[in-house]
Amino acid sequence: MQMNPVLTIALPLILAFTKIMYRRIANLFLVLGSLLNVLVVFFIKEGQYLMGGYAPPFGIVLQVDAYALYSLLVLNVLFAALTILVTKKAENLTSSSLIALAALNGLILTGDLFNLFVFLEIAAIAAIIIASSSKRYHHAFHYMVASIIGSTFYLLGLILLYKQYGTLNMAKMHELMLASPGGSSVAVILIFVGLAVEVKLMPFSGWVKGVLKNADEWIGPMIGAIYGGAMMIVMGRLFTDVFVVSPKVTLLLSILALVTLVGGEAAAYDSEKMREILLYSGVAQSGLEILLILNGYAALSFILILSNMMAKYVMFLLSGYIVNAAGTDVLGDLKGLFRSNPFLGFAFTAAGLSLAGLPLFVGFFIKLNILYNLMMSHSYWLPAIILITSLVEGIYMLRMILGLWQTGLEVQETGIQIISPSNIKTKYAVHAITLILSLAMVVFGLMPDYALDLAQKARGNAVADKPAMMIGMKGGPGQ
Amino acid sequence: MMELLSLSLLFLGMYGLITKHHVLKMIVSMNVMEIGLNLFITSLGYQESHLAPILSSKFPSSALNFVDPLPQSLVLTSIVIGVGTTAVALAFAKKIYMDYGTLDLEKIEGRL
Amino acid sequence: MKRILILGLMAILVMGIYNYAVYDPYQKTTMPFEERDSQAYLSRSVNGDPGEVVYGKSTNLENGAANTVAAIVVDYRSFDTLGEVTVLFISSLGVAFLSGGFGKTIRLKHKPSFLLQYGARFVFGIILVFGAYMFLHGHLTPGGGFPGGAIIAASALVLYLGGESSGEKMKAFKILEGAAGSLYVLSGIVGLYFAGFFMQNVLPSGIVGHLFSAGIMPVIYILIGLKVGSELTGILDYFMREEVSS
Repeated sequence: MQMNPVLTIALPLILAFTKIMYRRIANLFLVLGSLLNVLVVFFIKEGQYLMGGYAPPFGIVLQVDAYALYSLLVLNVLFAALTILVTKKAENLTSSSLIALAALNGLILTGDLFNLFVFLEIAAIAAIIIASSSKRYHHAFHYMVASIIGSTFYLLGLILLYKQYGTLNMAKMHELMLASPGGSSVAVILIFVGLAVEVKLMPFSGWVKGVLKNADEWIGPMIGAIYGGAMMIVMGRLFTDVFVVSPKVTLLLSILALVTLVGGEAAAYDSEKMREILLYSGVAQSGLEILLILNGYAALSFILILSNMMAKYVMFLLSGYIVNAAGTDVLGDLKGLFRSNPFLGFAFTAAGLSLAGLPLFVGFFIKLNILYNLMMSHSYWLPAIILITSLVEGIYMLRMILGLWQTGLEVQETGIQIISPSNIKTKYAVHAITLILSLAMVVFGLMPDYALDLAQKARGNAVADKPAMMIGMKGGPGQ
Repeated sequence: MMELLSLSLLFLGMYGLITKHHVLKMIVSMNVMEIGLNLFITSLGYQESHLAPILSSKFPSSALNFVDPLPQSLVLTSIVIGVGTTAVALAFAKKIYMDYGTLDLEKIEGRL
Repeated sequence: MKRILILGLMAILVMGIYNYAVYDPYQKTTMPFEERDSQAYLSRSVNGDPGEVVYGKSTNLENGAANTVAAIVVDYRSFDTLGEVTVLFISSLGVAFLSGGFGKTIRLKHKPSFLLQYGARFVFGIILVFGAYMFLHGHLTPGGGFPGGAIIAASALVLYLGGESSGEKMKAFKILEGAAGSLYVLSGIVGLYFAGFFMQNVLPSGIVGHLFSAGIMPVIYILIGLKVGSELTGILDYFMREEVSS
């Protein structure tokens, strides 16, 4: 059996449209819709799917390759898990969440630059509505202003590209740009800046703090992990498969990404609050991901994006529950919390260590490969900065996690249960989901060859991909 | 000339959006910015003495010279998106005024 | 000082973008109109060349709308339009969510004068019919579903100004909105399973310039018009309400 990928967009939309007529069973719509989407994703085959029967450069086309397929799978699974966990929170927002799901799927699938803009707008408005459910309206308004400025830049760049190349189709745009890249730099920079707002690059990431500083177990994983990951996947698509960026522009944009990396890690190191540390480390990680994308390490950036997405998802989810239970996220007040919650503690630890790139976890092999590849290509200042920032990240991650386990001499039990024992269903669901995700990170950490092979397969034939040599457990530069 | 004017309008709106901290003024700047962008997009599809891309009994054939229809349809989409975002922004303005009693974002942040 | 700096930055951006990307006296970075993708829309030759398209004569085109912009919006790039409808839908959801659902209606402070009260009712029907005309003829003349829907919402606004209260009618609008949206997506899925492609034009395209032409386009424009009209009316209605608790 084979499903058309457009169903992953059309199904949530139709459920969202019909839902406003049936208010009573709204929750059911959300959970069923997202589970149905996961099911559909399993039956999608790679290929090109036309809309309305019009051939590619003229009609809109959905481009399904391994890159889109893996991203789609991870995104839909994470989204479905989240809707099961927080049905209560999302009660008033079922339609918005379903539309957010449709828009994120569309962002990943579409092969048309203007269609991407439309989905970007839908996703942004959905995110703003989701963010405003925290009742901090001026923060949500800031987010809205930022994303409107971002999408204006994107559309401006896009229309300049249309003027120059006369097409909106990604594949044709890439061919034409390869043939004559001259004169497109301004447009490419404008598009980069437009998307930089959504992927939280440094001078444009002012909104992140307001939205995520007080995020609960619903907004955090949604905006922090799922949205961040999806936008980064779009970035990877555009700057590897579509645009041809001149070396000068690459250098300019790389500096922006480096600033983000350093600044994010510094801010995270400086912070005392769990969610602030998470959001700043997310900002820093997106800097690293952009750096890899721009410099042509498509496979590595892809696997880093997916693993970061999962790790941040687990950590934001648990931090939301921790704040619910303890009433605070200041690390000093949470010492010894994980002693009473060993399983959730394990999940949080695994995600955090993988994010920081410590051995045994998938993040370690990614960073190892990055450093190795950069050294091989005779650039030394870049690996040095990445190494130092990774060290800083390792230090504050360990500091946070050790504090939460309270490994000092005086052991004290806080007795706080992260999820109250009376709520058995949520308890088991949270345990299951976070443990499965963190175990996945450990398993991929123990079998890095498999993960790296998959990523290589997905991104290997990307045009701009450099032949990255992969180091896994087999040892040494293999393959 | 039209391109330069519409670009100026766009960035004038963006200037207002960045420097003002009164919610309603920001929404007006947002609209100025969107109008500038829409004008800019149509101006890139315009050419002197070409016709509007609609067949009619007066201009019946597709062999005539028409302006580029694609930017116009993109503008149509972008206008509707602008209407949607403006509506949401106005709802935010209403809500912010109800919650804080003022529309000045700087005052709100100072109070927190 | 800060403002002057930002103003300067904006001026630099305008000049920079204009100089390096727009200003192009020798047509080096500008694709001539004849080579752009949009030429295929004008000559309706995406799936094969039909020759010269003549108003009132050509039949069986891949798209039979006289208005090329409408043809692009509702047929060639119909998927964008679905997204566009979704943007409006989610904005109305957002307005509803931020306004805290159904509260009690704020009555206008002034009593509308006799002229406004009856004039509004008199004008209401005319505006409504004009809106319907707009989206029914969207494939022939400038206009279409979105302006038509906006005009319908304007007729509702006139009624509000004339002192009419919305009351129970909002529920019907919600159902209309949901039904029109679902039917739009469903028409796409019908295309997928009966013709092979999502949102394919499954009806015959007729003669260019006739009211019954362009296949599924008028149907979709009617759906869009109804949806946009009810959505914008809903948004207006939310702005006229007040939260019960406050």
